[in-house]
Amino acid sequence: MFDVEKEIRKWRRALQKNSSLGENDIAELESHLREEMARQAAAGADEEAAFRAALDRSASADVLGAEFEKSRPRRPKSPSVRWPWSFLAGLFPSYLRLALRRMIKHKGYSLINVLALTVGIASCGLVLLYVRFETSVDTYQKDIDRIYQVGLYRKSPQGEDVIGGNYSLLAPALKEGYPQVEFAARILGGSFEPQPVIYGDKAFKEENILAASPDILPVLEIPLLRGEQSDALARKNTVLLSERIARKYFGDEDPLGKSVRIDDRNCEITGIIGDPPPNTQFKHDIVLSFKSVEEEEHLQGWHPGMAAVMTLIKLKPGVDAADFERTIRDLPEKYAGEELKMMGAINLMVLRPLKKLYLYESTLESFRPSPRLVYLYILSAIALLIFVLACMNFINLATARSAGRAGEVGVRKAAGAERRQLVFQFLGESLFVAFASLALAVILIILFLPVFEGLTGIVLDGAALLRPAVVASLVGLTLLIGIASGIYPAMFLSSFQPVVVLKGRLRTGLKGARLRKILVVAQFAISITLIIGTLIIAGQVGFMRGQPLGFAKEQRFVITFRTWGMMTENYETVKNELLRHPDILAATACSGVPGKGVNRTYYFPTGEQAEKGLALRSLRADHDFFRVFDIPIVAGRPFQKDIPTDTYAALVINEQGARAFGWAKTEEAVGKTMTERPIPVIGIVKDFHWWGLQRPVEPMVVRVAPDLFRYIAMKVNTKDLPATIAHVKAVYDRLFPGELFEYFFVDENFDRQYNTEVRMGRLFQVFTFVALFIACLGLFGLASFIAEQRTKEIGIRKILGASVPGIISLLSREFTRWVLLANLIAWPAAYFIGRKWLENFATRMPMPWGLFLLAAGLALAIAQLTVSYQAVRAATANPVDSLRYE
Amino acid sequence: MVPKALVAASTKPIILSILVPGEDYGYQIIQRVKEISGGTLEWSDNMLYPVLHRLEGDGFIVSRWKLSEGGRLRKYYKLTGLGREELETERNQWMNVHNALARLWELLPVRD
Repeated sequence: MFDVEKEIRKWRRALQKNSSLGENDIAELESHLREEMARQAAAGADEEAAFRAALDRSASADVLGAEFEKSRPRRPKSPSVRWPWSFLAGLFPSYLRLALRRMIKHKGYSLINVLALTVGIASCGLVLLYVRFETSVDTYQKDIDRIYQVGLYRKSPQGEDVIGGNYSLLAPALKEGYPQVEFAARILGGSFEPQPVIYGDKAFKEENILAASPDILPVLEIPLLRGEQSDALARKNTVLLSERIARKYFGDEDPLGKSVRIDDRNCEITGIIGDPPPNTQFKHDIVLSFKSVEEEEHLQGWHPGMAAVMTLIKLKPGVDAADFERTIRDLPEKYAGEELKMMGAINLMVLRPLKKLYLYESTLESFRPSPRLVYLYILSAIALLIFVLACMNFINLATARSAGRAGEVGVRKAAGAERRQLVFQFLGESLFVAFASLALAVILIILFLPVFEGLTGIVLDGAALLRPAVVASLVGLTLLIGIASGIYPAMFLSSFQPVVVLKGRLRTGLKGARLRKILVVAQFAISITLIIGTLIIAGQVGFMRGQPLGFAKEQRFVITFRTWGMMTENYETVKNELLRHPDILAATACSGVPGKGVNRTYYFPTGEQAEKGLALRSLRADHDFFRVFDIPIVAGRPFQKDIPTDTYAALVINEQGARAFGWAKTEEAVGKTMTERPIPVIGIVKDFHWWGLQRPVEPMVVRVAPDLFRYIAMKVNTKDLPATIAHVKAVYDRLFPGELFEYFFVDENFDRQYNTEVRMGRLFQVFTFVALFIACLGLFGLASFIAEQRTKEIGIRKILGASVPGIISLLSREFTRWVLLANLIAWPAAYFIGRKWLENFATRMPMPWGLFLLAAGLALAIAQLTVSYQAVRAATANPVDSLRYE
Repeated sequence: MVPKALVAASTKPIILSILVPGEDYGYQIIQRVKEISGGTLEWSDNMLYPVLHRLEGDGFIVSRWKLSEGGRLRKYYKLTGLGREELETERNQWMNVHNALARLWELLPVRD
């Protein structure tokens, strides 16, 4: 087979051997040769004959060399560059100008490239800032490696876990009894409800209140800006304020020694401490001395059921943490052995490093990532995906347009440029685009920060963008994008031989067509996976919201009492006063409502061993509770007011509780008794969800114990809510003067449990949009290129009678195939990830195949839309114009 | 066959003159010359291109590569201002010689 190109290359090589002939000259000679060949062909010769004839008419390499030598221009040729560094340095400005001119000349493609890269870099940048923030929480203390939380491992018939709370008397015991401990602090707080804080005429509800022992300052390295170190938190009813709180209440006044009212205490201000930084879990705006609360009942003694005080210690330098942990491991046995045995439980001390508290959960032996960390991993993975998408875009567009640049490459090579020079030129161009995108991306990030805060609730510091580590990462990222995306097109483009006869641009256009197809399919596969992910999250949240909960949560209005005991005697009176209003249909007093406030109490069937008992969720409620929440009784009877023993001395359990005690047929449970008193079970109530559907229904026991009532829940008619609320407030103010009136709605409060999922869903939506956006940008650019390529073909088809819709479908067909292929890849991936995520939920929706189809349809529609603009333009172009250039 | 010396001497004025109406490329120049000379001047590639380069080196013409619509890459040459002046000079010199010969061969009257 006669390969004319091969022969020409041979001929070139022969010429290249002659040192008098430069690349430039050879290029010109080749051009001449081809002209002659064309002429021969026009006269009827075939390819081979044309070549031979042209070759004949040309002189031999030696002769040519000699002639060229004779008339060598006296000006020296431009030296070929060897070292890229001096090259870049010297020619940087001119290449900058060149790149700029190119960008302006091809505004459309440049815009697409910059846009896609900008969005890609901005997304990565945002996630970078977020990850940086999350990983910095409570890791910044100077002596961070000596700071530990003493957690508690608990094992009981119900299961095992590790909690952050501990025995109330642990911290002082550690400090006194163990020389390895330099400081030991106990802290209560974080889950406090917002308390009213009043100074003079300034009254606000504050959330960031802690109660802590004096050692909290050295342990967490909180600076004491004013006040005596020895007095801070040493006495009862004293408090430390952060600078910003002090300013809020005292302005320019000196707060030291003054008194501020917190809840129902008057506290003396003994010091001012530094503001809590945003990246700490301990919001120490107001620190009450632990002495102020230590007399409370639940903080006395060593009781396993009441281990709820956080204990933080700082070990002395040189102490081995593992050793120390072993030393204190069995402390619970020592102090609370009796009670533990009775409960059939084991407690062990666990040392947890402070720096791992935020992102890890502990097991007895090791750590595992907490959901927060998993969330970070997912986000980082998505950011990586988007980065990959942006790079793919870049590569695709650059190689697709290679046909247009072949001429330029040929010209430059003919003018003496070496391949290396060209590679660096193209790399330089892609780096230029990348850095231009970086600049825009930074602006985009700063603009987007408030939106991000709205989505995730995290305040990110825009100034962090200026930190050297962040700057280095972003610049590094940009370099990576620029080089990774630019290297392939650079190598590809610079490999073009000068003076390649471009027989219809389709030939070079097809080079790399396979790669382009792969990239587009990959982009869409990623996007479709993200779409499905978003839909699954939204679907699960919707599902959970829509599931029957077993109780009625709408139109349930609850008022909160500050503490137990406020309505022990008179809760019926309060209810009656409230029920006077026609819009209040029913009321109940209780210790908690679904979504809020139940702890566990220990019960065992009478006569059984204590170890056989269970710690059940324990609700105290009055006789009307089940009626107010529409929860049916399935066996036995509900509480009745006229039976005196129903108060305090009767129990109602839920179906799950009955099953847990081994009574398979729930009716069996009625009449059985619990504990030694004994207390009879008078009824079984249908299972209902106390917590969100992420958790299963837990065994629960209900008892009428008015001394622990803290809420009054009402079923209200929502006709005129403000008037109803006003009435309730009036009654409350009358009966409990001076108390703060607080209320909430059961459904809002309950739905707040889905917040994490909702937020995650929103973030997913944003990133899915970003990914789709980038993929579509790429598709748009590609479509326009391919349409351009086939202009001739389309022109001919039109002349032959093809209709506009026919041509549009012809062009779109190929892209449709690609998107369908992408679906094939995306579906299994999305299925696995989706299923894994859904396993976290006790109640989960069935795998929504409909959503998969929806995602596929969506992707197809978007792709179609993107391509159709170009398709329509191409299809409606005047065929005369298309065929003119021939 | 035109003697080598004559061919050599005439390339410069011919090339410069051909480029007066506008820019052109090597192969085309060869075709034009063949046409105009009625086939007697058939330049070869090893003859033309070195001359073009020398002329460029002297600054009489400038070159640039152009990509035609059909996809052909060609090196085009164009006259510079200097080139036009040089052409004038060449023309005068040739005309002097031409007139002398013309008078000798009784084609022209003797100059008065």
